[in-house]
Amino acid sequence: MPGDLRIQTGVTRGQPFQITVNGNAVEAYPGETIATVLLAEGGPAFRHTALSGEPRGLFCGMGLCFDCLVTLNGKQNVRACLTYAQPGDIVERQLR
Amino acid sequence: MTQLAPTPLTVVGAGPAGIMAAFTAAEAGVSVTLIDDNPLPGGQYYRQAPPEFRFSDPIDAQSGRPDAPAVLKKLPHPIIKVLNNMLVWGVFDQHNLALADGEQSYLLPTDRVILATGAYDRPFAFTGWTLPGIIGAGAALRMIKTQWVLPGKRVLLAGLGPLQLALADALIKSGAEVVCVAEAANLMRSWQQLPKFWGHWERIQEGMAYLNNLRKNKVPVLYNYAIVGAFGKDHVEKAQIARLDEQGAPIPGTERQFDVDSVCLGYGLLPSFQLAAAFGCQLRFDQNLGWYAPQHDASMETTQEGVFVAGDVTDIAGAKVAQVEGQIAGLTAAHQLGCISGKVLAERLGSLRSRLKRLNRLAEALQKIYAFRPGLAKAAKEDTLLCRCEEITFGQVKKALADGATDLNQVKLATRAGMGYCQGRFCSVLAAPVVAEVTGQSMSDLYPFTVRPPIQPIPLGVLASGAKINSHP
Repeated sequence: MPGDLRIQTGVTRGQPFQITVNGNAVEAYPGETIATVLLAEGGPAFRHTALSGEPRGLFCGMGLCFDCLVTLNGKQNVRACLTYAQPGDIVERQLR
Repeated sequence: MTQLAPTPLTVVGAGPAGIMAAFTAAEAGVSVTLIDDNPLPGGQYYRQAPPEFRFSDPIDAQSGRPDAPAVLKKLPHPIIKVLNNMLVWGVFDQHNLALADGEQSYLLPTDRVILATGAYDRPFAFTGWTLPGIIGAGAALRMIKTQWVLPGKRVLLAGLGPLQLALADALIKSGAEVVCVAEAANLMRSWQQLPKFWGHWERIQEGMAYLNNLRKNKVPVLYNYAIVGAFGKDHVEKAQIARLDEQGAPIPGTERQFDVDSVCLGYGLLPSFQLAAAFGCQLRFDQNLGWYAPQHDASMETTQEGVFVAGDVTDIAGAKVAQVEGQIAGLTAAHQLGCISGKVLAERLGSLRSRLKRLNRLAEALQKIYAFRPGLAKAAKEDTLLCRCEEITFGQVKKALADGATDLNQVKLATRAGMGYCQGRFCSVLAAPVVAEVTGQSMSDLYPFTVRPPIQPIPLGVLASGAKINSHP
């Protein structure tokens, strides 16, 4: 799996903060969506499907396909691509 | 539901078409409500980066497109009320828009409405197309240009059209390796379209610059190839492409395989016509697109009086066409609302229509060159997923047809394809060719799934917010 996928040249991000992804502390930057943080981190699927357990991740990136669903602060099925990361967020990839 | 004050004109979508429609109507004296489901205006094409990011080149804050500031600076405007982070999920009695933000629902009475709801990446089904790491080309471009994150480091691009070159260029400049660009168009058959490019030097130059950068970076660009398979355990690891025959169907035995960590699918865009359909606007079948778009007249009015469309929601022709269509719709709505005279309207429409005609010559050439050939649907196999949401395969849809289903709505009832979260946006266009082939109908006979509110899923709590429960004494 690739390392950090954030583009480094041409952009300056603000002060990073921590969120928790499946129990691990992960760095996020102000203005990033949950999808960006998960994508940048690399790693496995955003979720597994309910029926066959297939892995899914970011697909349409504009809130239409509902493939990037995660559990955010206890709330299930939140679209990661539309939701901005906030300090202290607790994200669970919906894996089984 | 909270009742909002009535508005003479509502524009839905704050992209190139919506901003220009709202601005043109407002300049003519119409008070406009401009609704958009993103935090900042700009739509997908002029999508703005988060305000927390700082850039060495200021244009990068405004999508990196040099033409963005001219459009984005039309807002704020004294008589345009912008509602960001707001979704339109239905329409009642043709004049009441049902809205929702994260908290609650609203009802907005409106006299006229301009739908500038844009487009989304066309789904393209093949073995493994649901694997993480495989994303839409539009999605990839947005992630790079506004979130400044790469979809992967070894990327294969498969699709149809010049957006692929722009994406390949952006990926390379951002430090990713593009292992291959598989272009499904057969350019050898497109030379008849060349004269239509005459005069559009800026666009030609842009294309040449992209191609030069690809050549410099030794990226193979394969024409008449499409993706046919993707493989990996929890993430895409290998992608397979194959050469296409005359109809666009993959030729067995011509496969080539690449190691990748991401695949971007750019098989064109589909109009987001769901709200127009909810208004009861007639849809027309577009031959080049191989799919439906709302019908409109030369003033951008749909078959429903006072309901207009502008931009990619009706003509997949890019930001420039979208802006002119937005202006035409905005002026006509202003005239219908009594803010400008018929004489002024005719004068201004005249020059806008000739500009549109010139721009459309190029757009039509591109649409023809990059038409979605029917054979491309053959990349899917029996066990390929057709409906991502409900996990229904092409084989299951074929079985429903063998059992007697004769149109898309019957397939939906028999299989659940189209009943999931995306509400048929992705599966209907994939199911239609299968239904056409099995039942012997033509694609243009198969009207898309019936659209029902909410046209996008909203939580029940938001829907019920402010609802008065009638309790009997």
